[in-house]
Amino acid sequence: MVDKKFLAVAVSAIFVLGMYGPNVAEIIQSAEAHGVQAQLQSRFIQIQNEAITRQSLTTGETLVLSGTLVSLVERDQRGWISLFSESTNSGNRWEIMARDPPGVVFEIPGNSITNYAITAKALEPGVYHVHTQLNVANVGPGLGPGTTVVVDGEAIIKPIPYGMLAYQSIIILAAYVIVFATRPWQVI
Amino acid sequence: MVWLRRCTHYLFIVVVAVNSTLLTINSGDYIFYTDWAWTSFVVFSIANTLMTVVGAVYYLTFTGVPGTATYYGLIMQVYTWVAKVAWFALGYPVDFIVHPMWIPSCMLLDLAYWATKKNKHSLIFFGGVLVGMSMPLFNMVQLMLIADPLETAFKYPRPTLPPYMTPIEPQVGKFYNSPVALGAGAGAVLACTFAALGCKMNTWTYRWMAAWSKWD
Repeated sequence: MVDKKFLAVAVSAIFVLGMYGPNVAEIIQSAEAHGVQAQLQSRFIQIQNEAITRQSLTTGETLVLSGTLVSLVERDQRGWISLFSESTNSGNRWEIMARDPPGVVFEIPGNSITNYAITAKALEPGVYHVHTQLNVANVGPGLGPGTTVVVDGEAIIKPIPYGMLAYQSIIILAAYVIVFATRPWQVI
Repeated sequence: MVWLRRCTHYLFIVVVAVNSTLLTINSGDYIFYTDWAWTSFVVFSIANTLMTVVGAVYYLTFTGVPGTATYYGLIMQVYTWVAKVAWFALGYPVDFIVHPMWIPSCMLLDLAYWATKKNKHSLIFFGGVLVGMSMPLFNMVQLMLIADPLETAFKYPRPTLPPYMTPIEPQVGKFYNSPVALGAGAGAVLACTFAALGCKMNTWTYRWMAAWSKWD
């Protein structure tokens, strides 16, 4: 027979560890818990001299985010560039109109300096903090320092796929015809 | 016994509504802003096929009336729009919000049941194969009618996208080259088993209701 006192202490220890263990573990590892991917990326390729053409615009107008990508490694890398913006509203806020270097995925030669520019159209009003986002293949995304941008005006609606809506609607209509012809609920 | 029968039916409708909405919401998350649209298509075609076939067969045999599977598919399809609107309200482009097409496959299930004079085993085998093979095809049409998710992802950047979902380049063909064939093949085999499960659940339900009927 196991001693009851021993059992009580063991159960209490498990209980206390269960409650406080995760908190203690979090305190110990917090030094490396955040931003690992972004920091890793900046040790490969840095975003420098980030500049923005305007900080106040109306929806439908464009801004250009530019700067340089400085490769710190010997190896050639592949990546793509985009916008990262933070704000309190949700929604799809930007439409990329042009990218330089052109295309989606481009080569970043080792130890090179590459100029970049992103032209984006504002789709939704709000106050944003806009950064350059560089995604490097097999490394991860990284951000530039960023700037505050204020967008006014009416929100611009995103494209609607009428073909897909028609496809679904026609089939739903056909189902209604079958259901009202057979009236399955009458047998319930 | 009518009240028990009707309560079972209404409970069933609620379960269908909740399941189809949740499944659509979860499958949607894997299509948005990623280069895995066709890869996740395989997984979710099979998942949706199995969920549909087990429910529709159960419901069909519960009522014994061909047309019930279409009714079931219609309920799922209409509730799916709830998930669609929820994603749209969160700010995703409508072009990304693809959801499964259940109705045409359910129509085939009704057809198999009706054409074989309500034969349960024909329903399991013919119906199962028809649903399993057709659902990935009807879902394929959905994916073909929208703009390429990867292109859309590049054109409309999503600021809150977590880093692990950041698209780099298309991955289709990396592991397999025909998602529709894979989905249809696996679906056709698995759907028969799940159709049989639907029939068995119907038997259990009727036994359960019969056990309750002693109180009448």
